[in-house]
This record gives sequence, structure tokens and C-alpha cells, in this order.
Amino acid sequence: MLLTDEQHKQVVYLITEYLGEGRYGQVARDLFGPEALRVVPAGLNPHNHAKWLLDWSLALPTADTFVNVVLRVDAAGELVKVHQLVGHLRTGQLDWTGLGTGELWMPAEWPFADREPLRTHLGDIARGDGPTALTIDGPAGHGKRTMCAYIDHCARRHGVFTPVVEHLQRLHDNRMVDYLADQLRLKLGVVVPPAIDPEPERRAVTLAANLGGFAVHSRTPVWFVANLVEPEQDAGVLKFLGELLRQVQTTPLLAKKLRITVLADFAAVAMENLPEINSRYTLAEISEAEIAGWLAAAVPGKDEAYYRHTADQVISHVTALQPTPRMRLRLLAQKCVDAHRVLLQEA
Amino acid sequence: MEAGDRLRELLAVLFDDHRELQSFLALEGMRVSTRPGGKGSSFAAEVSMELRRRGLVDERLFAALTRRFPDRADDIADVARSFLGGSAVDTPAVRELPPEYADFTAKLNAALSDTAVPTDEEIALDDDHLPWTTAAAVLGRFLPAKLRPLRPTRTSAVGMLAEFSHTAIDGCWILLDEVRTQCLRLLWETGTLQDALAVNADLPDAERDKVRELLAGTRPNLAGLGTAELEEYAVVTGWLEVAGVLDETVGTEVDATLERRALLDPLRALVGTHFHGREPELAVFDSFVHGVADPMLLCLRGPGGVGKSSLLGKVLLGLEQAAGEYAAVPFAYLDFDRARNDPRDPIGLLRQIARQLRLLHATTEEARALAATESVYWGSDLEKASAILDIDFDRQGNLAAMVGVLADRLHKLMDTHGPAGYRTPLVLFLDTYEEVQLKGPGAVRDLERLIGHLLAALPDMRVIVSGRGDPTVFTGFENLVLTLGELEPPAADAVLADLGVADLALRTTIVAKFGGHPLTLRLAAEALERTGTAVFDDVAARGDALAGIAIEQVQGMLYGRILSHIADPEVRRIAYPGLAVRRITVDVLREVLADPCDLDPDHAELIFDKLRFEVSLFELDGPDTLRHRQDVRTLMLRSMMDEPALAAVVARVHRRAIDYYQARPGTEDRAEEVYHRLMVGEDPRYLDRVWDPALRPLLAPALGEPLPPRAWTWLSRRLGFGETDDRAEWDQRDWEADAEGRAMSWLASGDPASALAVLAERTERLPDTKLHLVEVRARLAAKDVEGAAAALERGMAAAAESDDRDTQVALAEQAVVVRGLRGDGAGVVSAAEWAVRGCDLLGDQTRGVDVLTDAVGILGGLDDAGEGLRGELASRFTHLSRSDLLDNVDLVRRVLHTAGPSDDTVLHHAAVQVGDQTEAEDGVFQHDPFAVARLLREISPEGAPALADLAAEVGLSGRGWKTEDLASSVVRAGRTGKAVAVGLDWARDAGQARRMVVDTLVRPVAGHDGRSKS
Repeated sequence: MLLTDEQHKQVVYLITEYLGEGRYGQVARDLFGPEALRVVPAGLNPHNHAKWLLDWSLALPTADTFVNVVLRVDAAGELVKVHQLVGHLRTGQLDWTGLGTGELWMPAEWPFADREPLRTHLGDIARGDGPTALTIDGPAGHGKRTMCAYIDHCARRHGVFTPVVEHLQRLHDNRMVDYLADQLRLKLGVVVPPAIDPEPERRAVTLAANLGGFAVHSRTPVWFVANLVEPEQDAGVLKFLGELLRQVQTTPLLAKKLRITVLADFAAVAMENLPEINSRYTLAEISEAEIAGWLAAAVPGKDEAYYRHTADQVISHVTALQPTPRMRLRLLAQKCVDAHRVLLQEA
Repeated sequence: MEAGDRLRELLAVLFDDHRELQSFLALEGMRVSTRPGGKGSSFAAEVSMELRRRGLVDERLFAALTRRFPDRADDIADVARSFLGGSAVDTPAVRELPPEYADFTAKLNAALSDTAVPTDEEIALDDDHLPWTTAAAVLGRFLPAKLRPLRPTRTSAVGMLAEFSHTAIDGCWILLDEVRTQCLRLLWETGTLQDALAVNADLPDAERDKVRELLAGTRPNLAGLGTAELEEYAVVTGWLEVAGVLDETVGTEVDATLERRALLDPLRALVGTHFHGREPELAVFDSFVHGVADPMLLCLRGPGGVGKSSLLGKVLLGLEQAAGEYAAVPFAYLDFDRARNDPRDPIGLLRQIARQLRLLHATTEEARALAATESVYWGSDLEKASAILDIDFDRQGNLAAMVGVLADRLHKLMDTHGPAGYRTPLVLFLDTYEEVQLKGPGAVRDLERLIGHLLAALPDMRVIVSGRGDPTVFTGFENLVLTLGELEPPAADAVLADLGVADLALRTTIVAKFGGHPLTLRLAAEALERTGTAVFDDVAARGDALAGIAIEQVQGMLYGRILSHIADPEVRRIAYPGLAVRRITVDVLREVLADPCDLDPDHAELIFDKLRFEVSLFELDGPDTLRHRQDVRTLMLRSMMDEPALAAVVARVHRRAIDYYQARPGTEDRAEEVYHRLMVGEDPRYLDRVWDPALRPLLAPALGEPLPPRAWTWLSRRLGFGETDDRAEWDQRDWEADAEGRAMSWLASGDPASALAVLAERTERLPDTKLHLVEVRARLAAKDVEGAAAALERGMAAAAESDDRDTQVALAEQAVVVRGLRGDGAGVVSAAEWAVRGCDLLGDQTRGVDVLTDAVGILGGLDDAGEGLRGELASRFTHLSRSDLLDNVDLVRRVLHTAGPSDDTVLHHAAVQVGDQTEAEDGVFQHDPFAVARLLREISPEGAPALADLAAEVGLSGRGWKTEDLASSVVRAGRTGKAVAVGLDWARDAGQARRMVVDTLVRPVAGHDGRSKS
């Protein structure tokens, strides 16, 4: 994950503006090269067209196209941090194939506390084994977005599945299920008949059933990761996910072509066809044990008591501030950075 | 754990039904902009979030909850403390370091204390972001490049807003709700909201326009708005209310309108855009609804496909439209196709009516009184409801009094809000009435009794009933019957035009040749679309020659044209003659249809996928099942029977279907087996062995199909439809099947006298009769224990003679009850042992556990320990497999309630096998984190390692968690069973722990079919 979600959104938007009506013309060819225009699926709206092209350039073996895109679509340098990133790529300070940490506060090799059983399962899925459907449960601030980034990275590294990660929240848009079906269809590379049901819930079931039926013919298996940022969703989204979960769990052939992981606060989300209990994971709050472990890895060689005491202090300070769920992880990250600095000074 | 999560948990535990939670909020005058849509926990979460967003989580809320749920006062107080406690935050203790580390400790403390992390809202309102966030706050969505800032700035929209926006699927950006609220509040308080509305005035934005209208004091005409636009108003009023810009009036009205629309939307879809004609019928409805015409009941009838539901929908939508435009005409719509509308539950129906009326008057002061009326029908918060309604509940209780509560409100509504000159206090619509009829005479009587009470209390009210059953009339009342026929030519012409037949001459021809039956018109339009004009001309020409033939034949001919233009031959063959089967699954395609329809069985999955897209021929009946559309199927079956060439194929389909379904155990499989046996004209007497009243709703549609006469008679008598005047002439087997259905219906309605009256119609009994068993139940329900004993003796003698083991076991089960009521403990034991032996011979282990549970419960009431049976129950129960337990969740609950307080093994077995979250909708245990926490607090110190293991399993690590955190994590991870097992294993007081589990964690037992359960 080279770009954060926000940076990705910014670059997509600037590409959209830059291409304007010339999505298939010379401007686009100059930006991405003729191969990109040959393979980009037809019928995408300008936003999805730009998003597809950016993802395509990020998946290339070298950074050249991506660098060229950023420099040209943001010639004014509005996206300061993205330009810094590009600078690091050009000077070799940043490895194009490595995992960028973005907003993640943990180092790359220790992305989210001690979630070993879950990471094992995710690794199995990335290699083409493991459960066909998986749910990861956690309230806001427990690291669902971080876990999505890890899954994305894990899938890309093993190359068996193409990850499709969607952070979903209610946009008051009845076409959301069509959008999701489109994203999956494109990545699966299959032609799926549209649904004609006008009612969103019914259409959601039909679209998911159609996808399930035709995905078995896909040559590019997909790992669909749906992160429900909020419990409230647009009409049909939960039905769509529920039906997809059912499909992958009941059709063995489909499991080779489509995996589904749903992240949500399941205490507040009622979804059908959840997998059996051993394929449901809970993200607990990050505790002092995880923080002590991270500090020990980041600043090794100290007495164990240092790490434990420091972790205790971090948790204690965060708790005293009574952060909102959304703020808790951010605050925890900042306190860990501060504690890390003090530990380094002690070295 | 976050306080909001605790509130969500509390609401989910307290309110099983989201409608009750909604009614509670209305009663307390707490507005939340949340409409029920999902299951309980989801709605509770949304309500919890909304209450916090609106600052409504206060002492008043918790006091109201405590008043409504006094037995959960401790849990409510616990959650209240986390919001209102006033106590310091409970921060974890910090391990002390040795003194030599003091310097490090001080530095660390200082560094951690200095950190300030700004919130999203703080960043969004800083100097760099504010010009952009405030400009975006009044827009539903925006493109950053088009957006102009509220004031000049050197920053860019792309840079400043990415962090605070979602991306819509068209690429537009949408500001985060929390940020929007802060911005709107700031704009309002600084008097710059109009500036924000003006700065991007040239950008089209529906939400911004609505904000402007509402600020200008314009009130939208909600009735005239489409649902999408109403949703936009709901969004905008939500923004403005939470920001403190707008009061709740418009939002309340918008939400209520949307919720009523959800109720009527299925009818809206039926009415569609091509409703025409029916002026005479609409005039009848109009005068009826407005109280001009007598009598009080109007029954709508007509053949399938003629448009009854469309007409009903038209009338209802008209009332809904009027409700939004001027003073509301009170109306309520009860569709008996929905499980929550149970004709045997008059209080539940009254509750539904009160709820709909509350939504109709959501913005008036009557909404609270109607919420209080709902509370009366929920049986909760009676003291407060009593004060609001100004009635004394000591006098309430019977149905007439309960109806009176609603009638009082309706009279008040008429006085204060009724349209001038209008004298109908309530128009009640009862749809899908055939579902009531299928439940038998008891259910019909129960509904008629409610209608009777309503008419007595509200003499000017009107009732409209619609259904497929015949006759659709209420006995004991004067009924106005309205029979629907074909559409008049101008209306038929207009329908065709709306269905896409553009050519006037062609429309005229179609109407002239085929008439104005709505189904015919639809088929004609569809045939035209598929075949093109030239081919249709040919059909029309044939129609000329066939003028005057039966309408079904015309429709069949049109359908034939549609079929002949299905390009895929496999789909065509499934459509015809494959429609001999009602349900289509991949297995049915492979095992039943492939051979006779000449399909490749290996293509079954692919064919199934193709069928899904033939929406004019098939409809989805669950994710794995399709059904031939019943209206076209019915008419094509007739046509198919007239084709001798197809007879052999159809016979093979039926035969293979019988072979397929008879090997399967489910009720739906049995219904299909019976259906196909009836269709091939098998001697129906064979079917008496497999007949089960549970098949009635599944087989009811078959009565409209061309069954052989003997099969039709057999089925109609078992469904309780058709002519019954000659019942006395029926053969004994038909009469017994019918009598069993009627008697059981009366028993389910709590009327054993009527059940016994049915049984008394004849004295003779068949050798394998089930009526002795029914009589035992009826006499027990009538408290006639000696009569039950006598009937039991007769039944036993007959069952022994006929060697009917199933009936013998059923009678032995009743013997347990009868002997228990006679105080005969030894008799209970011997009857139970007899029944269990019979169950063993039948190979039915769970039934054996069932009867033992009854017996142990009864012996408990006789102060007889019944140790032998108790041990036998525990032994047999603990040998049941997980799948047995999952298939019999209610039995598991009964066993736990009966044996659990004194026996660890049954509780432990259930906890381990089915205690954790299962695929079943409702498991054995409640998802109650408060009860789990109480159990875990009673664990002895030796259980600490087990608790730590449990914590690790649900994702809690370290030492910082509290018991309530562990309980919450256990419940959300679906590990209640594991927690129960740990709680029982390590309890300080084993007996107390068992009682705690049974009393607070095992779900209550559901009653069924009038069968008494101790």
C-alpha cells in the first residue's frame, strides 16, 4: 500500500480532472501508455476509469508510470506528501515493491499487534487455501482499516488473488450495490448480466447471485475485502454481501475464484450467512502487551521492565483522555511515537 | 469498553422487538431519525448512536428505561454510570519501576502528557481547512475542482478535503457527517450559513436546495414527493437538527412518511404506472371509505390476475396521498401474508393499528397518546401510559376494553384532526385473507371477534377485506361484495399503451379480440415485445377465428407465442412442459426434468442460471429455488393437458418428481410429493398416511390448478375450502381429516368446546383414527381430566388394534399429562417409559427426550423427585448429537429449564454443543452480556486461568480487562456457550450458578399448537 486512502483518492481525482473528456485519447495515451488503454475495461464512469488506471500503474513492476502520472496531473504540486513520496521513489530512498506504512503506526513487519492466529489464516487465504469466507469483528478504532491494508499487501505479495478492498459507508445512493458488483466484475474479468429488479434489496441478491454464477469462469481470482466503516449502509449492501458470503460457502468451484472477508462492528451490523464460528475473528483493543512487544522490537536491548512500564504509561495516558473510538487509535499511535522517542534517548 | 457500546448492548437486550423500542422512544418524546430496517441489534446500534448524537443520553432516558424494565434496574444503572457517573475515569494501574529509573519515568510522563492530538473536527475548522469544509458542508456532494471556498485561501480543496470526505460512486466527494455537523453549527452561530449557501449557488445540488427551502420556512408537500426526494429531506433534516439549526417537526414527518411508504411499497409496485380504469369500483370504494355507503364491510373478490391487489393498492395509496396533503383519514393496513399479523393475536393486531396511526399523526400531540396506546398493547410502561391516556388500567384486560382504548383515541383524533364532514373514524384494510382461512375456523372466528368489538366501539368504521379464498366474507355481518371483472375497453387500451404497445390500431385489435383481462393484456404486450408485430398479427388473426373462446385458451395461445420465441431451447423445454413441476432447483433439473425434457443433466447448474433471467416465466423463491409464475402456470397447465402429445412427457415428469421427493424428509418435499401424486390421479386415500396439517399453506395454490376431480375434492376438504354443506355426506376419512383440522384450529384459538363440538359431529371412528388423540387434547384444554382419560383409553385400544405405533406414542405422551393431572406419579413414570420405548422403536431419539422432559416436569409439580426418569433424561439428552440439538432448539431450552437447575450435565452438554453462536437465528442462550458478566463474577479464584484462556480466545490479552469487558467480548465473539461452561465449572456455588444460567441465560420456551408444556 504505497498511498494512503486519502492520497489515493486525491490522485484519482486529479487524474479524472486531467483526462477530462479525453479518457481514450492522446492525453491518456501519453500519461499511461498504449497498453493501459488497450486493457482498461469499457463502460467505466470517469472516476472508475481513473481509479482503474491508477491501480494498474501501481501494479506495474517499476515506478516510472506512477511517477510520470503524479508529476503531470499535479504539476502545481498541490499534493505535497505525494510529491515527497515520488521524490523518494526517484532517489531510491523508497522501495517500490515494499510495504509503505502510510498512516499505519506499526512497522511493516509488525503491522498490528499480536494477531497471529488471524494473520495465519490471512496468509493461508493469500496462498489460495484457508476459509472461503472470513469475518473480522471490531468496533471503530480497533484497527479494521489497518487490517485491510495488511490483507491488500498480503494478497499482492502472494499473487494468487487480486485484492478488491472497499471501505463502505452510507452515501445515500441506491446504486451502491451496482457499483460493488461492477468493481468485482471488472477485477474478475467476467461478463455478468445486469439485474433488472428495481427494488435495491432484491437487486442486491440477484447481482450477487449472478456474480457467483459467472465468477467460476474467471481467470483472475479476486479477494474481496469489504470494510463496513459504519453500521449504516446504503440499501442492498448488506444483502449483497450476505448473498456473496452464501455463494462462496456453498459453491466449492467458486471458492477458487472468489474469497470474501467482511470487516465490521458485528455487534451493530446484522448480516446473513456469516461463516462458521471458527472463521470469525475479533479485533480486541490494543493492549499494553502489544505495545510492550512493539517497543521491544523497535528499541531492542533494554530491561523488560522498561517496555512494560512504558506500555502501561501509554495506555494509562490514553485512557485518561477518554478519546472517541475514532480518535483512540490515532492517540495511541502518537503516544507510542512519543514513548519510542524517550526510549531512544535513553539508549 | 466505550460507553456507547454499553448503551447499544443494553438496548439490544431490553428490546427484543425494534418496534417496541421505537414505540418507547415515541412515548418518551425522544426523536431519533432512524427507521427500523434490520434485525434487533442493528436497530439498537443505530438508536444508540442517534441518541448520543442528539445529546439524549441523560438521566431521563435511564429513568424511563428503569421504569419500563424494573427487573433490569441494576444493569441500567450500570450503563448509566458509564455515561453520567461523575466518577473519575478508571485508568489502569501502572507498574512501578525501581528508584534508579525515576529520571526515565519523569521524562516519559512529561513526554506523554505534552502530546496533543487534534480531533478531526478541530482540524476541519482550523484556518487552512475552514474555507473549504464550511463551503462543502451545505452540499450533498461536490467535485473539489468546482468548489469555491467560503473565503479566499491559498490552500486547495483537493488537499484540504480528502481527509474529511468519502468518495461517491460517481467520483464526487461527500463531507463526513461529524465534520459537517460542526461546520453547520459554526455557520449558524456566526450567521454565515446564508453565505455558505450562496458561495456555490451555481453548482446543482439537491440537498443544498432543500437546506435553503427549510431555512426559508418552506414546508415540503411530502405526499407529492418521490421516495428518493423524501430520503434527501430525511438526510437534510438530520444534518440541520443535529447542528441545532432546525426543530424536529419536518424531520419527524419525513421519517414517518418514509416508514409508511415502506409498508405500502409492495402495493405501490403492484399499482405501477399502468393502472387504468376501474372507475365504478373506485367510486364504490370512495363512497364506502367516506362513510356514505353502508354496510361496514366490503369484500373484494375476483379470479387470480384480475387486479384485486392493484385496486386495493390504488385505494390505499390514494389515502396515503391524502394524508400528506390535508387532514389525515385514519387508516391501517394489515397483510396476513406477514407473520407478525397473526389473526389469533388480536392484541398484536391492535398494536399494529395503533403503530400505523401513530406514524400517520407523527407530528401531532396525538402521536404520544398513540404511543401510549401501543404501550398498553405491549403490556409495558402501563403506569405512564395510564397517565397519558387518562384511563384506569384496573378496569382493562378483556378484548373489548383493549379495543376501547384505541376507540377513545380515534374519537379524539376525529374531533381534533378529522377532515370536515368526515365521519369514518377508521378504515381498516385486511389483505391476503386466505391466509386466515387456511388457519381454520378458530382463526377466522378470532378475527371476526376482533372486528365485532371494533365495530361495536366504532360503529362508523369501515373494513375492507381482500383475498383469494372463497367466500371472502365475514359471517355475522352485512357484507358488501365487490367482484372484479375485465377492464373496460378504454382502460384496457390505456394499460396496453403503458405496457409499450404504441400502435393504436393494434391495441384496438387486441382489446377487441382478447378482451380486457389484465393478465391477458400483459401476456399480449409481452408476446408483442418478444415476437414483433408481424408475428403478432398472425396471432391476432387466429384470435379472430377463435373469438368467443374461453379466456384461458386465449391466454394460453399468447403464452405459447412467448414460449416459441425463447431462443434457448433448454429454457424453452423447462418452461414447457417443465412447468409440470412447481419448484425448480438444480437438483430438480438434474433428477426430475433432465430426462423427460431432453436436457443434459451436466448442464443443470448452467440452465438454472439462465432461468433466473427469464423473469416473465420464473420468480425467485429463495436463493436456490425458482418457481414457475403461478398465474401463467395455472393457465398453461390447462393448455398442456389438452395436448395428447405431451401427456406421456408430463406423466414422466410427475413420476420422477414423486420418486425424487418421496425420498426426502422436509415438509416442503412432502408437499411436492403429495402435489404430484394428486396431479397423476393416484388414489388420494394413500395420501392420508402422509397428510399433515402443516402441508396446508404449501398445497393451497394447487386448488386453482386442473387437478383430477377426486384429487380436488380430497385436497379441498383438507384445506378447509370449497363446499361444506354436504359435509354430513362425506366419507369417513375425508370427514376425519377435515374434523382434525377444524378441531385443532379451535384448540389453537383456545376454544376446546368448539373443538369437542366438531368431534361430536360423528361418533364412529376409523381404525387408524387420530381423533381420539385430538379429543384427549381438547378435554385436557377443557380441564375435563376424566373425559380425557376415557378418550385416552379408547384411543389406546384403537391404536393397539391398528398397530399404529406413531399414534400409540402420541397417546402415551398424552397419558403422561393425564396421569400427572390425576396426581398419579407412578402412572406418569410408566406412561413415560412406554412412550420412550415406542420412540426407540420409531428410531426417534429426540421425541423420547421430549416426553421425558414432560414427565420430569410433571413429577416435579407432584413433589416427586422422579430420580429414575431424571437420570434417564440426562443420559439420553447428553447422547444427542450437535445436529440433533440444533434441529430441536426449543426442546433443548425445555430440557434446560426442566432439568438444568438440578443437573450440571445437561447444561454443560448444551453449552458445549450449541451454546456458542450457531447458524440458527435464535440459539439456546440469550446474547446478554450483563447476565454473562454476573455469571463470570461468581467464579472462584481457582478459575482465574480458565477465565484468562476465555479472554484470550475472544481477543482480550494482557491483564487490563474487566469482567464486563470480557462478557461483552464473549457475546460479540459468539462464545456464550464457552463462558457458560467456564462459569459452571468454576462456580463458587454450583447450585446458584445453575439457577443463574437457567433463569437469565437460557431463552424461554415457545409454546406450539396449543400443546401444553409444563
